[in-house]
Amino acid sequence: MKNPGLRYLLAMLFLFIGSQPTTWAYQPYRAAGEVVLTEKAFRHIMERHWPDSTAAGAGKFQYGITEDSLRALINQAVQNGHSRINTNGRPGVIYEYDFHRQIGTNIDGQPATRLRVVVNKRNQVVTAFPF
Amino acid sequence: MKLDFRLAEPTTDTESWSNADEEDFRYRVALGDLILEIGSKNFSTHWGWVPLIDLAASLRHIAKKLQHSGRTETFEFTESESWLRFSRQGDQVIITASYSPGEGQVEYSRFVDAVKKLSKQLRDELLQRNSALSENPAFQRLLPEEE
Repeated sequence: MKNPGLRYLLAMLFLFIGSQPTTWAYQPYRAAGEVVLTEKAFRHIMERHWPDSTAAGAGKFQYGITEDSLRALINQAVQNGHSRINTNGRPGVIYEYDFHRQIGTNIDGQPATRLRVVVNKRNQVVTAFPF
Repeated sequence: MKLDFRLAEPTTDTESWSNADEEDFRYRVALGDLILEIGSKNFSTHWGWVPLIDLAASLRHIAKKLQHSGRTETFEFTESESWLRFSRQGDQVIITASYSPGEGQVEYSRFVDAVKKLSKQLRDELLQRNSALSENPAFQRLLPEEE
């Protein structure tokens, strides 16, 4: 290879490739933007997980939660949380994030600091609850 | 082993079932409770929000995965951190739950039969309430007539 310019370019390319991580963490549906909280999903969450919901055996958000603050919690969990493929053939991805502060109560009525969010393939929230 | 379901009554949303998609069936419609008793152990739920089609489809998925000894599969409830765990040990399935103490044990073949029976009964019950479900592809896929 006699062309020094081309040799330099190839060397830079190899250096760039070599500097990249050898493995890539699988981050399914980890969009750069925010996930979508549809009206349907919001109603679903309110019916089961709102502070005044009577649904038994389901985590509840703290009093004072609003649609906007729920949206903020969800986006923070999706952007910073651990993700895994949904279980037992259910479509979508599960995100879990520990806020290290109380965001609600778990099924035993104890303080909950973590949030689980299920997001579908269209980047829409399916459900979200504290635990 | 008693494996059964209880539909939450009244079921006011039956009309919407015919247009429901997989996500609806997995999370939002045909809700109720799991009835699961093994000997003196009771792993039944009393929450009223368990999506029953998802429950049946997931249990069939788990039964298939437990074909080989040594495997463990977990059923995660959709709206809480609660779970049921199924471990295949030899010809037995050991069942534990996060929300109820102790463990139950059942022969794998009996477990498979119970899951099939639950699926069939649920399918029949739901079709009785809305016959248009038979035209719904997601329903047919999640709760097929037979395997």
